[in-house]
Amino acid sequence: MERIFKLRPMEQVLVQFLLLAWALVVAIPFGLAFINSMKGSLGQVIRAPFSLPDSWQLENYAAAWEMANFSGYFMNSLIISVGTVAVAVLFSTMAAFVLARVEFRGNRTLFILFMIGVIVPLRLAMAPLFVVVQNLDLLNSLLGIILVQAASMMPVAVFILSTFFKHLSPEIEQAARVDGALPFQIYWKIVLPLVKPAIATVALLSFVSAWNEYLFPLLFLQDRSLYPLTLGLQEFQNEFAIQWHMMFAGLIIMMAPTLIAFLLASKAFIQGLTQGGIKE
Amino acid sequence: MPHAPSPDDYSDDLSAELLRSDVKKTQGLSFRQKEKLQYALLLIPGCLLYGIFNLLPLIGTLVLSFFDWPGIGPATFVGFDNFTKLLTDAYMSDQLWNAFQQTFVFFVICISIFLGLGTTFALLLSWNTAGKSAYKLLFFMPYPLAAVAVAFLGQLIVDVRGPINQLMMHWDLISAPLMFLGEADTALPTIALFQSWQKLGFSIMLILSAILGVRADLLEAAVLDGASRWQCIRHVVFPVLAPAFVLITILTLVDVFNNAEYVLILMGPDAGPYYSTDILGTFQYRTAFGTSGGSGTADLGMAAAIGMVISVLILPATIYLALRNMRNR
Amino acid sequence: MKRKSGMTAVSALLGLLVATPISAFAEETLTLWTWRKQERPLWEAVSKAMDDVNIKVEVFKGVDYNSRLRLGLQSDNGPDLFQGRPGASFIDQYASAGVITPLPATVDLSGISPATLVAATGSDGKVYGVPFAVQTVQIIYNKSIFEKLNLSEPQTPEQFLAVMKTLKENRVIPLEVPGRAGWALAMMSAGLEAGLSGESMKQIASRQSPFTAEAYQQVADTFASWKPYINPSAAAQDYNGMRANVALGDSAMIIDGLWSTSPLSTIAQTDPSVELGLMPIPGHGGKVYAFADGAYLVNANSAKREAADKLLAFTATKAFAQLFADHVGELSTYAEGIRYQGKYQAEAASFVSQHAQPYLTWKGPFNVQYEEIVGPAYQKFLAGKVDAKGLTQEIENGFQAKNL
Repeated sequence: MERIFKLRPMEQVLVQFLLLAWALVVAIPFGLAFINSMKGSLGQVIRAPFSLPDSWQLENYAAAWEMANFSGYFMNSLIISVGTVAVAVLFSTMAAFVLARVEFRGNRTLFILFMIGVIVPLRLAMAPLFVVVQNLDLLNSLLGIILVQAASMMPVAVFILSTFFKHLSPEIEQAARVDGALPFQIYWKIVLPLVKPAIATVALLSFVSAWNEYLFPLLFLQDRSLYPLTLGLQEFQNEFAIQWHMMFAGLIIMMAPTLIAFLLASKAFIQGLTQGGIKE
Repeated sequence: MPHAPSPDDYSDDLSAELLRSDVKKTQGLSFRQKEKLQYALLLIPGCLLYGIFNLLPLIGTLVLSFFDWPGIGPATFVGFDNFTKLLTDAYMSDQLWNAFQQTFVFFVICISIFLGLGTTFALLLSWNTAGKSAYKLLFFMPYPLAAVAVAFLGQLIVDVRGPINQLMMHWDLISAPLMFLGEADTALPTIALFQSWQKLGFSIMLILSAILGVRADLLEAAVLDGASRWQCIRHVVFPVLAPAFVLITILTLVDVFNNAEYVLILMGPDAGPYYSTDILGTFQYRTAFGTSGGSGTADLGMAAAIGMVISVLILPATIYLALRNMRNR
Repeated sequence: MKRKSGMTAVSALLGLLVATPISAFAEETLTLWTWRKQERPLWEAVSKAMDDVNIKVEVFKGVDYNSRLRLGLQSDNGPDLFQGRPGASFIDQYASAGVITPLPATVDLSGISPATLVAATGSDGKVYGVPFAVQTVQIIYNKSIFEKLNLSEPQTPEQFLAVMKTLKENRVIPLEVPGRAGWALAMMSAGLEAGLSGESMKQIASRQSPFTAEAYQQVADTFASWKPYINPSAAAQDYNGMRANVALGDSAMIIDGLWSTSPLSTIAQTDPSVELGLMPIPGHGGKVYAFADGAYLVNANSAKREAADKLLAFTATKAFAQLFADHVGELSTYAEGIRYQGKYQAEAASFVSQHAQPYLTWKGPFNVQYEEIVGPAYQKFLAGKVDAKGLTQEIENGFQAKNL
């Protein structure tokens, strides 16, 4: 597109105007969060939320790190999120590959069963889910959380990936089969590299939802040492007044890994899309 | 390169015959069988994971909707009572239909912004615009922010003493500050705008990647044929956006009809002002966990029933969209 | 003989030596679950005061507490003791699940003020736990503003109106109301009932009279007469915004609970130097709405049932009540003799002992329904959709619809 559609200077100005407008709308709340995270007391946040802090307190970030036990909880969040992404991406690509490209009895039914999971969120089934997890002895374990969160991502992931898989032409695969390649090889070496954008989408969705997930860890984890960041931030929620200046510092720290994940994923988007290969 | 001896290596017929039968035995399964096995092995883990940790609890919830259960203690079987109460008893069904209408409005606002503004910005970012990468990152930033932060920040901005009101008064557009979150007519759209603000980044990225995936040769052919820029966009790019639009619609549909984080944070489960911000998510939450006082009785059976009804409401649209997507090629 | 007594002496000594370390190790650790962070220092002090028991407190955020509690009580990792929300609806749920049982005879409730027992009583009339923390609903006002304008606490409704008039003339919002928070409006209604109506609420609280009766109608009418003095954007104001405004001095008075006077509350955090005053809502009722915030309950399925019951018995004693008052900074449910050293505690305590409203609507037997109905009704009123008569009619209709 870029090669084909260069922008004339007038158009460039118009485009910049529109983009800057939205950029402002996005940036202003962030600016608010940022300046309020630098205030020294909750009072300043409440009294004058739009004014600059009386004195810029970087200490809030250090204090948030300490009080919310960020270093410990950060590891937990990371383990849970990376684990969820790994399990979700692996299992969903494998299953979607078979669902989308292999004819077998019950293919349609399985697909619809997965779609049911898209429509009905797992959040609805807390009580029965708790029973399942308890009976599998996975309560109070990070593995349990990873499995539950990956399972909740499966329907959407399978949906996205099936769509992508369906759009691949069958020629490469057929050529490989004639050469004697077995499904594992076709999956791993041939098809997977072709769906990188879909994988990036699924990975991003999984990471962000796992990273910000609050309900599953709350209900299934009992050991404080296993808490992820989302639960750690509770420290700043008082019965009487939420410590907003600390909360914002904590929330901004929390955002960093997801932004990095996004940066990585967006590179994969572009790479996957502009590479060669057979496209329909 | 050394390889296992194959029957072809032996010109001697008898030896070849013997070797062939040996080879058959040691190879075990035929190619077809191996293929089937591997397909099965690829399919099973995902199905197991989904089946045990997702589908099974959902079936449990369906069963639960036929019971009356306060979350602890005994559950009493009530058959279809929950459903009949929900659909016919004035107190419940009024809330249900009110919530449904408002959820629909919420959805329309969000999806218009996602598809409308999303496509616009995606297009703008697909050209050789200056500062593309910076814009991309900035536009995505709200997405991973926690809901509680978005709610608080949004509330600050639309506050009676907040920047929007001050600007509008400064420019003499209004004489007294507007109470965005205080009026029944504006509270719901305002909250819908908060949600759109946060989630637009994802739509932009998705649509952008679809645009970038358009085949360059098709575009070149169109240009050579003399098509103008807008004609190219309308006839070559837009058709390819369909899958992205479908995905965004499904995700938004499910999100808006089931979740209600912002309303819960800003208005509590009571969804004031007097139920004008009540959407299906808050209605269900209120039934499941009670009102904001904290001591409410839980009725998880009824909440499960509401969940089932919500799913039935969005099921047709979702299946239709999904199947249409699959059949498109 | 000598040898025998020697042997006895030695074995006695040995016995003592063996027994002492064992009793030192016999310190039980009990877990207590709550949504109140302020309980932590209290239980640390209790652990220190009691040799044989150590209490670990787990705090969960208010909105999550009920869910977490329910799940915890159904698994093996539940608490030994927990704090429960007030009212029969809460108690009944957990009693029918077999998780709590009526108090054993070892718990002596004689010192607890009887009016608070309703927080721990089920609809079967049995008491299941020990109530804690008395909260009061009254007018909290910014003392500096009052002093600056030479105002004193109004004692009659007419004086109240005069005070509000003066405040308004001096560009201070006389009364700040949080229109967005339904539950806070229900709280306000309860406070108004006690101050403006008082004894006459008896019939309505027991549902022998409708809310449209004179007893409550006069509450609505009086509130309507204050309309010019209420913050103009009441419908958009949320609970914390209301408290911040009184701390900032933009408003003079709010109707709120005693908990907002805590040094950890939004008011104190907005301006630590703010001076607050407490006063009952002046009116014909002359009473202050007071209620117990919940009860200490023992998990019937706890492995350490005996120790937990013992601890529960301790919570009904005067010693505990004093510790509660000192470390949590709230009013204890113990009837008499507790010293309150907190800034506003003593005054609130006097309200309770002299003029507490005995007829509970908001935190009474139909707590849930009261909030669900009264909150939105007041929102309608503040938005101008109904007048005072319509307000009481809305409330009455709501209760009728719930068969109450």
